[in-house]
Amino acid sequence: MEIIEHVDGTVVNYTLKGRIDINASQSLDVELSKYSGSPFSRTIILDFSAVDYISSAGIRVLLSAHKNLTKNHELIIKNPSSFCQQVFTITGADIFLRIENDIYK
Amino acid sequence: MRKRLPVITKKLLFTIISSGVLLCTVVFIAGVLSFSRQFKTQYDSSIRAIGAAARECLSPNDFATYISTKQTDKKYDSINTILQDFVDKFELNVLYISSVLPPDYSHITYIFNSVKKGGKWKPFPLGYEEDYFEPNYNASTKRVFENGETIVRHTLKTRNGSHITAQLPVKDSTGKIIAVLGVQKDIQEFVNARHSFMLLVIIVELIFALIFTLIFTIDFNRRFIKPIILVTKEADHFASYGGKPGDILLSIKNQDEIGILAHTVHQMEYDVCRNIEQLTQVTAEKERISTELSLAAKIQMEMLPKEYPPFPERKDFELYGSMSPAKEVGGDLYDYLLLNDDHLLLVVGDVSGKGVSAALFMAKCKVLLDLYAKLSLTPKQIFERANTQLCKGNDTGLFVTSWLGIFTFSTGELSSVNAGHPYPVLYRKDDDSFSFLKEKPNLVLAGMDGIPYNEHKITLQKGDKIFIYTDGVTEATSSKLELFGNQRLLTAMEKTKNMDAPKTLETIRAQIDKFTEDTEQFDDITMMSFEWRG
Repeated sequence: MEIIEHVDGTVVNYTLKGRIDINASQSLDVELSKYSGSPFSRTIILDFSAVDYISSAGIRVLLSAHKNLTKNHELIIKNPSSFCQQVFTITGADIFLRIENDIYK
Repeated sequence: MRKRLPVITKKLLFTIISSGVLLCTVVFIAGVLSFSRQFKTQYDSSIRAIGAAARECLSPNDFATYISTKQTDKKYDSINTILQDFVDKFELNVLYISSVLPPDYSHITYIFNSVKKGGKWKPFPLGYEEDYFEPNYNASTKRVFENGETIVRHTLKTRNGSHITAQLPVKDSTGKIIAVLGVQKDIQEFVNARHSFMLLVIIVELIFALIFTLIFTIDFNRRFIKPIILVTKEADHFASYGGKPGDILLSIKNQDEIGILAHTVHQMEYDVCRNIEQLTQVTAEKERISTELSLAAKIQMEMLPKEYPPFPERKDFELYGSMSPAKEVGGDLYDYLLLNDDHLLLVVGDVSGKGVSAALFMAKCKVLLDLYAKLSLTPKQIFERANTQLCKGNDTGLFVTSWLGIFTFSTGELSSVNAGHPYPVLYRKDDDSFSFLKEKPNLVLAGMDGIPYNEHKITLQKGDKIFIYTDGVTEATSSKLELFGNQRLLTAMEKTKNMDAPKTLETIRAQIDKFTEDTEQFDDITMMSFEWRG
């Protein structure tokens, strides 16, 4: 999986590409955990439009990111692919995750 | 056993001896050449000096008279005496003064002729004439007469022995060359001296070469070859037979590269041995962990019910489940419990992640679900209580997706809860079709404390089946990174209509294996099939 970081002021954009399997989810976890102790409030946007696959380990990372980050930051999942949307729905992750879709894709 | 000379010593000896021979030869040739040249120069100048001195005693103006009259006089006699004195004092062979005629300088008329006493020559009397054809003599005589040169010739090793001959021009008072003065001296002693010199040089050189070779070889052997052979032997022994390294190399005390080599090899042997020891330990440790893992896998598998049929006395339903982990230990679980004669619990769950951590979490989860089910709680209550318990101290962020249902035989009612789990497949006998039991799932267990779970109720007819599985089935991946997916699952299920539960599971598994081909299974695959026969 490819993780591309783009920082724009307090907004951190992550463009994720490929498959979030058990190995990729670890690198995503490491990437996201660097904000957990940060006192500065940020908006962290994860662009899921190019993610073909997400495993339960990937959901776990989003879950723990949600737990650790949302006290201080905003976490937004953007434009999930249809597979990811399906997984979010099935796992019930869509209940707590903030999922946003662009109107004009 | 005869001790063989090491190859390196042989090579060294060969090099020393051959270079010694070469050096000796060069020194010998140079010595002999230089000796000969010095000797010849010495002889040349000495014979020239003798000839020149003798020439000063002559009275060349009287020569014409002597030749024409062939009569000696008092003056002639006194000159002859002086010349004879020269011969005696300088140990000359011959001393002569003669007139030689052009053009070919072969007709000789002797004026004076003194010879060595007791020699093999007899002096020619005054005016003795002879024709002597000898190219070297004729040519040199010509040069004396025509150019006024002084010529020195060496005639070595003729049958008369070896001589040196000088020919000097004799001029009258007008400066005209009228005769040639010839002096011949024996140089056999030179030849002999050269011989003995050569012999001496050879002997001395041989002795020196021998001593040099001996000292050099012994010294070289002690300093270099012995340590090298020791290192070679030790390294060879170590490489071929292994075992403990010896301290024999420490006896090499060289303060040079060989010493460094010896100590490096010694150090290396110890390092290799230490590494092997460590490797053995690590391997043993790995072995131990692997044993423990397989034991853990066994324990985990033993937590899952495997009997078929699970309840032999109940003929009104059929049930079978299976789990095959991707790693030694998996994070999937399934369970069924006959809570009482009328109620059957069915659970399938999947812990996020794999391996030991997932397996431990799975065990905790299974125990909790069993416990709450046995308390006669509803599916909704079971999940909500279990979720609260699983959320406690769950810092690792693990969670479980799970589907849990309780079937009531008397009514055919199946009430279920879904915590983020894939939809089960339902077979309806009435319309003979498979479809997903699509109920909106709630959040996974251990995801968030205190959230509610929705209970769904459906009613089964006799002959209906339900197939519950984990995402290892639908997310089985082919070599082209395609997922098995829901559609392929439904298609595969079509083939299992008339099959019993174990056969159904076997068929689905075969379909998955056919799809993934030889791609490694990367998630646990768990399936459970239930049929109400009534």
